[in-house]
Amino acid sequence: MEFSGRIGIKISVLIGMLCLGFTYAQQRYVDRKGVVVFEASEKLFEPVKAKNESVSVLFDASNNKIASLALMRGFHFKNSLMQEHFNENYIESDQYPKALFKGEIVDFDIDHASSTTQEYVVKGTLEIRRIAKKIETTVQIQRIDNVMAIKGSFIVLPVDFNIEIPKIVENKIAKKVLVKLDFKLIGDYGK
Amino acid sequence: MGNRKTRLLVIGLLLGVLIVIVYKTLYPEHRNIAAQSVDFILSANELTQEMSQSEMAKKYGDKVIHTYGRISAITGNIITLEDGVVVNLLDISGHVLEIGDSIAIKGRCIGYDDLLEEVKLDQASIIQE
Repeated sequence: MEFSGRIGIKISVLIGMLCLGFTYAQQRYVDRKGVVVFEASEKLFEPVKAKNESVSVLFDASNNKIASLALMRGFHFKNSLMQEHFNENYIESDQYPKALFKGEIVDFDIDHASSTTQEYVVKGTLEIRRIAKKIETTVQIQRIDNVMAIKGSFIVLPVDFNIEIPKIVENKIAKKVLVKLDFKLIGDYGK
Repeated sequence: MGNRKTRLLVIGLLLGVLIVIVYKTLYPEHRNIAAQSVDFILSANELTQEMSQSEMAKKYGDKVIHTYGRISAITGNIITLEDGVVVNLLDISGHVLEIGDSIAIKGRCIGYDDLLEEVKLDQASIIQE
């Protein structure tokens, strides 16, 4: 009798722990169709702009670590020739197929994130063509239930990633590239 | 008089053709994946296995792939096959897709996402349900 009583306590403790677990905010947030747009247009010339709508984003609410991966071939340009040059000559996508950001949302607390948009600092490194560059920017974060929306932008220079712009098109491509991001991460119970 | 008119007409036509040629050279159309021939045929599991080795990115990158497997997730026009191949479908109208269904698709391989450990295909179309 005593034995079954102990098991009973163990089971109730276990159930209690499980219930607690489910009331906590989600730990892992994932987006498979994040949007990243970059623009390096110069006035009077054809816009140099591309959009990637299948960017992956992974956020861990337990340590505020965030990672994002964009496949270079996923960037779509209006002008197909420009897209070809981007992949073949500038990025060399066969050799360097991805852009990877790894960082942290500073002083963020998932339990305090709400439907009111708030600004946070994100610090990390962006790796393109196996060259890592430190990035620090401000993003806007909003959370509604298990959906976390992150929006922001930052500037990178082609020079930082050893991307050579030929003299002939030098005037048509901006020295500074504006990168805009729009992510909607969904709380995930894990695979 | 008539001679001059035809001459003008011919010049005009030639100019038109020239403009079209120059435009087509400067702004060629994007690839139509659905109309292109398949470069590789392999199952979703084989594709994930192959792409997880980084040196394979070159082999399959930007190629037209025919792949097949069971649907493990659906979000809008994005379906996942066998938990490993994420397919961005161009058009899902007229198709009723459910998790567990076996399906064959054709799409462009854009690479391997080692963050989520998934292969990504875009501009895909359904070839068999």
